[in-house]
Amino acid sequence: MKCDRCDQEATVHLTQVIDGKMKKLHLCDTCASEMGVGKGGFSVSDVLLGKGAAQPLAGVSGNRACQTCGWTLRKLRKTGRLGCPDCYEAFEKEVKSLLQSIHQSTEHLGRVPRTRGSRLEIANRLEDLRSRITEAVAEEAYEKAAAYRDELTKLEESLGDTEAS
Amino acid sequence: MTLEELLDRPVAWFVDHDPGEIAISSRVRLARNLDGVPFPQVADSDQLIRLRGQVLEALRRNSHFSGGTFLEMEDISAEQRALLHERSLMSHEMAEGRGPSGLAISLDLQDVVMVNEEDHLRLQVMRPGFSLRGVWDEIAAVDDDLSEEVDFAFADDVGFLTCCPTNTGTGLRAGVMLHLPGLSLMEEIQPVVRGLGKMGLAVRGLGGEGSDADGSLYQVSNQITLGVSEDHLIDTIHEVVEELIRHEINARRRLEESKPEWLRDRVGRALGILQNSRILPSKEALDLLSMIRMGLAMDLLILDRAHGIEQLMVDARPAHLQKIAGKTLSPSERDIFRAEWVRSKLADLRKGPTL
Repeated sequence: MKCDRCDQEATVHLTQVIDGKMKKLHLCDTCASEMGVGKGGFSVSDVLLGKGAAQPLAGVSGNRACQTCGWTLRKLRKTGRLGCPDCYEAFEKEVKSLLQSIHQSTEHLGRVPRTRGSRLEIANRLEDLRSRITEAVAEEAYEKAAAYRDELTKLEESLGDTEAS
Repeated sequence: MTLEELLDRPVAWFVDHDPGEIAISSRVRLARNLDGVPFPQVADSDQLIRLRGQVLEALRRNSHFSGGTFLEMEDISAEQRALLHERSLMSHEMAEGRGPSGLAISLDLQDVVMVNEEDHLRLQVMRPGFSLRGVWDEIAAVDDDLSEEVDFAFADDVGFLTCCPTNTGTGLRAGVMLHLPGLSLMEEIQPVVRGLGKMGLAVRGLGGEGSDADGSLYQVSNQITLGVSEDHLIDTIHEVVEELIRHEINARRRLEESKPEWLRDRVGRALGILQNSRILPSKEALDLLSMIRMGLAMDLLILDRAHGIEQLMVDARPAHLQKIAGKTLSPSERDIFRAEWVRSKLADLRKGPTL
């Protein structure tokens, strides 16, 4: 496949969705690095949050840092990555907005480390089953929805038993 | 097991398949980090060395890894890293990286833990064929065991904390590698890629994207890791893969019905080139071997030892080819050696009648 800007063989392939339309870009090494795509010059947050997200906002200091590891808001914006587990708290607002744009959710519904106890895990499973029932009903997959409903009822009953004992 | 012994064994997830099997392999990986330690890109090397020691020590005691191989990256040559990467036992980033990373591989070569990659831990289980649910059960057991030995970074609201927010929550990436030559020949891959994109799933070709995938090998995996349970993600991919397998079978049937001569021509030409070429680049080799694999599955072609084709698809890749040659080869030397190797192997595999 040829590069979109010159006649060389394209080695970098990008797919972007702009206004709901998929746009493909094929570039050779030279053109890719000229356009800042590839190693270093490419900002993940620009892609996720739109061009310019990597630039510090007026009035908001990009120097705000995580107390544990020293990672800054500017670095988060530039790389789209975090420095340590505590960064999730240090940059909570920014991280939640990133999570929302990537996953359309900010709420974990999955497994929990064994040492955390089972209460949270069961709560997550209940929530997950409820969302799967809604989804199945929307798809008119009623058999599936009924199976999830049975599972949910069983889980709720077992939770009731634990609380009673 | 030593690394040399490990590399002499066949690739656990690919060879000795039935060529008719459309799902080549199933893989799940979990991203995990330890509480109180910066992620590998920020941590200093003392912290990383200590963490690696702690994790590898825990894994040596773990029943899933008994008799396994435990490696510190500084002890492995660049060639060995490339071989591990071609076998999907090590990520590309890790094969290229220099930091104090580590690797544990189980005796059956199916369970892997990468230490100090982008996250502190990347757990991976990979098995041949379509076995996503079995793979998930296995990795969940490894994850449970480890969570009793080390403190995973976890928050009640957003789940497992990872270096990149694209992995936060479950930290799970589940994927199935599929051989889709029928859909490729019918030029129906692009609509599939678009459709799955809308469902939050990604389709990636081996070594390229879209219809350019080497050997018509495609990996289907989830993109979203938060707001959905692991079981839900696994179920979704399982259902989509079942559907894709039906599409592929259907595409092959339509090819057979609508252009039987053209189809035989493609398979026959592939065999002809592989038997006679003197210079064979890697992508071309994979594309042609893929045609042979489909030809075998559709009974358009008979080889005495059909399984050998998959071994050749592994052998054709650069690091494995150089291991066979026993020396480092330049890219152009590789293309010549690859042609020679494939010619000799095909002669061995092909004692029966042809087309």
